[in-house]
Amino acid sequence: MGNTDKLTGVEQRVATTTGQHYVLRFFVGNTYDPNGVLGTTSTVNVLINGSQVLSATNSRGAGTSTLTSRGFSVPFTAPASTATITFLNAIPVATIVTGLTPFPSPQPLAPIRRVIAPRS
Amino acid sequence: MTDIEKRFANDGSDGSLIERQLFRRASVRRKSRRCPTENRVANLTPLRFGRYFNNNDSRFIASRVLKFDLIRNGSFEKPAIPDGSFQLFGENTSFSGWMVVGAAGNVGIFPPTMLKADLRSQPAAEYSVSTSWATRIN
Repeated sequence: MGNTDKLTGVEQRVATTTGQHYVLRFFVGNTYDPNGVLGTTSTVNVLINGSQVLSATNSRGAGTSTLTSRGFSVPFTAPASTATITFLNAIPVATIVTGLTPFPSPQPLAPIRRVIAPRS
Repeated sequence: MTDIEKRFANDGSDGSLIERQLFRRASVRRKSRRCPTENRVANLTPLRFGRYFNNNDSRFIASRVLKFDLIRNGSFEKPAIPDGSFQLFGENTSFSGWMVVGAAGNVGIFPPTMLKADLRSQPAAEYSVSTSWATRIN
């Protein structure tokens, strides 16, 4: 995320229902650029309420020069009336992320969009 | 019954009716449900629509999903970024529901037009590239 190639990311607090099961779905975008600034793999660390629940890596961009996405889902049970969801860039990879929608499970997939940024 | 079928066979109004019912219901009870049928919304549907709409209907599921978009700006659709540009946000800043956290650095928001662009870069070049799009799977 961004162009600083640091463990920087975004977080948001969402309202939840205590004890409710949720599924957080998101995509990680990847480009394969071994000779340039975009790197070859993309990893995002996902934290819920400060605890890492997933390290999501996408390396499917090999052989292409455009963005290749990989979807992930993280089930979790809300421990309280709010949940803080954090996405952190995981160096040394650069290209990232995502659009996401948590919703009570079971539910079908929801709207997604994407934001990525290479390292500089 | 024959008259009813002719009346509603092609006007496509049954879906919108159901959606209005769902949202009206939602304004009263916004508590999340584990099961799409837990609110028994189907019971609100007039019997004459029963043959067109049941609990497994994809339109019904889609309407329910709309209610469960818990994350604000989950597609990073805001701020709107003009084509060919991007916007960086440094740590401890916020934008449209998101807070930038972690190590000193930044995150970038980019327009959707870059999705199909050739993303190969040149060594030592200094630039940023990205994209965004919206997808819905019902």
